[in-house]
Amino acid sequence: MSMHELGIAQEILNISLESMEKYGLKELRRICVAVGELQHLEADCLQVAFEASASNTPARGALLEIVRIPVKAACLSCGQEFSGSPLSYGCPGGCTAGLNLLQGNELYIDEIEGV
Amino acid sequence: MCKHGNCGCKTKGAPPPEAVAPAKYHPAAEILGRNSLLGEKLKSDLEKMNVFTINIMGSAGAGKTSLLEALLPRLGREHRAGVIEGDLFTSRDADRIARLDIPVVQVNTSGGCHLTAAQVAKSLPSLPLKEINLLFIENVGNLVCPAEFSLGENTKIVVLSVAEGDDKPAKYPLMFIQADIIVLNKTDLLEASGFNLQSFYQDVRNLNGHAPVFEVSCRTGSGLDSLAGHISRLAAPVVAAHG
Repeated sequence: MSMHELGIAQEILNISLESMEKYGLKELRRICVAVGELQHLEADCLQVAFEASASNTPARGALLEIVRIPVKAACLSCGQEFSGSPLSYGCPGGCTAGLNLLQGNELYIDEIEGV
Repeated sequence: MCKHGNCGCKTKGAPPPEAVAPAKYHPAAEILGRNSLLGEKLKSDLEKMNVFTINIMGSAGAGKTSLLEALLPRLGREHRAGVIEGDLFTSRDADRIARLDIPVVQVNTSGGCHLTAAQVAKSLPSLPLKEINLLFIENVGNLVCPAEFSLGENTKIVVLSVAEGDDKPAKYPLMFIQADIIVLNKTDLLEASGFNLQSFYQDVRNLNGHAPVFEVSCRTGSGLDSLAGHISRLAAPVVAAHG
């Protein structure tokens, strides 16, 4: 298990437990996590890390669902918006003036489901 | 069940105890929010003490500690630096900095791949904060997750060595997007490593239009005065305020 995913899983657990209390949930079924493509997170690894972290807590048994958010950026020179795989962020207009990241760096809990 | 009808939405108020159908909630919680909040607090606390903070990131072996060793003696006498060294194990880096007679504290993450704001907060009391005006935090050697954890810094330096290859900015974009200063180290090995400067600059400029790039060699000393000058200018207002 990667230490990186473990740290993230523990934060997800903390927020889940706080949410369970806030919304009066006894059982957590699903946690939907929004992950930007620029975040280096491996879904299976995160699930294993979460299960290990949550095993003795009221959040045990919850399934993690990862929703990937693609990268979107705007060229700082010509303003053109573009998206791309993490290997090709260049402005399609050929500018090399850097980019303003519009999306793709997210890491938040989008939704939880429970009873 | 839901006050809006049957959409299942339960964003306000606790459900009645007899509820059995799963309901959906939107806590809108940043997963690293706790770290970011603490990072903000650290930044504000350090600024109040007139300490300018620099987070140095880069791969293991890029030359982050060597850069500090080369940089610290080149900063003017008005700079009184302190260093936090982050590493998985050993105090070897802190020992190297201590030899320069610079206050230093070693943080061992015991396998953790990045420093967190909490680790920085915990190590700050070990530094003579009233006496220093420049704090360097050397992160754990890694081009991935340190980019995601704020440590309360004013400036992020990313160090890449030519031996790692010119393709690293494109492979680790977040690190290079967030950099305020990019240092290309070990340029004395440019020819031997076959590093393509043109391709490197193109990838860097695709990602980041503002960060100056300093080509340095900690071994020969080239480029380091210019980098030290840039850091001095950035920190000048804080250093002046510190008196």
